[in-house]
Amino acid sequence: MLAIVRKTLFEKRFSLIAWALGALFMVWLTLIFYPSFSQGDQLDSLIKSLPPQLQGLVGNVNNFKSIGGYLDGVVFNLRVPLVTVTMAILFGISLTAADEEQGTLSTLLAQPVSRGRVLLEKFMALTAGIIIVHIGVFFGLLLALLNINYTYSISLLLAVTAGSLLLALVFGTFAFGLGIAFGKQGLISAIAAGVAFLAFLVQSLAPSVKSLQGIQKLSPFYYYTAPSTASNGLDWTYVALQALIVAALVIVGWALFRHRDVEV
Amino acid sequence: MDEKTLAIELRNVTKNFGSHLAVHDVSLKVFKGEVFGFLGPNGAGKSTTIRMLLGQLNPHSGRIEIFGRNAVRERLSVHKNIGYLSGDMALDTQLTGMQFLQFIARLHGGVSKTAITSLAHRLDCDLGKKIGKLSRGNRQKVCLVAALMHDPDLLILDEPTSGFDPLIQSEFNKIILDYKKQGRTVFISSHILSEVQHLCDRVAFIREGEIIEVGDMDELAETTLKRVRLIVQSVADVHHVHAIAGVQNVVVDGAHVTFQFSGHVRDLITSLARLSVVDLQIEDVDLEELFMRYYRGGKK
Repeated sequence: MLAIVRKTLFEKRFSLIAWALGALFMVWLTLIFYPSFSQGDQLDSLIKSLPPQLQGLVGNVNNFKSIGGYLDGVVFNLRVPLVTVTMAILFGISLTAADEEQGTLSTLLAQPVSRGRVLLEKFMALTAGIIIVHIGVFFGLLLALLNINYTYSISLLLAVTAGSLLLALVFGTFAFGLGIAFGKQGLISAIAAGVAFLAFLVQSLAPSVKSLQGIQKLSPFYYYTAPSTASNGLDWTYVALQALIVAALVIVGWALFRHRDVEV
Repeated sequence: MDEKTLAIELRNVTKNFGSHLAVHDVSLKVFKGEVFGFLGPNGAGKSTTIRMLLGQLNPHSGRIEIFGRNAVRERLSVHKNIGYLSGDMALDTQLTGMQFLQFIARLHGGVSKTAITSLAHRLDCDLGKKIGKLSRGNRQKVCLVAALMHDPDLLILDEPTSGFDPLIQSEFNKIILDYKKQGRTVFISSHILSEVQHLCDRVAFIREGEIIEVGDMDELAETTLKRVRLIVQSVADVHHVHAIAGVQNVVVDGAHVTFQFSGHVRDLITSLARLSVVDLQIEDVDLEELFMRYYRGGKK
């Protein structure tokens, strides 16, 4: 049962643990500076001195003074997605296009296993990998709050972690879907990374660049950032929408993979 | 052999990659219980054909059946009965040999550990080391165990012996011959005839994506090139040698005549009986020479 999931996670165990520890450390390091950040005024004047376009990238500094605002605007705005989305894209590609270029996908498909099962189990492994990294994120939050002697709602911490997990899953599945559908590692990596960067840029610049506001909702980062999850909890409509995007990417990937030639 | 005993059948199979025609209108029948050699130079279309048999590549036209089932549409049920090994099989290098084999065993719905260990013992295969740290030959042994451990009725082997040392090559030959004795089928590709010539019942030669010859191995050996040396009593008879059908490359040194002959030996003996032959030696030209002739684009 789930032989491919188990084998994949076993093979990638050191890499996944390293990503999880990296995410934990990064979250911890960012959050332990919250007390000095919330009490000083120097940052206010620094941000006010920036051009309006760059202020959009940073966000409303007054929001950062609450823990929820700091988590949304500083910890989870750029830093966490930078790690988790990068990991998810790399993992999605390694399970598909990289496997195909190395020839291991071909070896797997020479066994009595359907392409549908290969895709489904690899997607389950991708999801499990992203969850493992987010366990690191969650424990990073708990550890930092413990260190700075602050308390915060566990359900909101879980919610903001889950929001990040969903965003990583959207981009991870995008890379995974492209990889399983076309199998060209170099090209897929460039497209997936390029799309993630553009999506982030659109969402970050949209508050101050009017022309981007029309396409802002095309960026998955909008559904991640807009609800301010660490302060307000998950927006279930957005959660459902992201889940639909993930499902659609898997289905399109499967439709293109099931009859195509496998390289090597 | 009738149609009911077919193990593999390719009917007018064509495959191209863009403008490159990799396999063109290939038709082949492999019967249950035979060892079938699929021979040709590198790039001739052997691996492409095998990958179509395995359902990894889709033919552009034609039909492929394995044990009467469509190899593309019924891939899953077909694969339960196939053992596959290729010379350049990619493995998960982070796993040990045993971990890899247990993974493959799970995909087959379970294989007894005894089956794995007894095959590994027979092939002197170290299953405790990570695959990434094994030599090419030892990786091949792991792949061979994976191909055999579920006791398949059909072995598909694509250039399987690269990396084997002579001892393992000999064990491999025994395994193939055991398979044949048990009435199972082996489809084996190679670009080196001598590797498979003692194993095969029949062979097909493929060049530039087209089958150029299919034949019984014994018949091929019987009817193809012989090297003939004879001594004639009357030098005048030398001229008659040239006139015998199938004789070529005649070298005359006094009463000693050497030539190559293609055709049935009985026809040659009948022709020579009319001459004043005092000594005669007939030996097989290595089949490799025939193979090279096909390679160079000779016979079709």
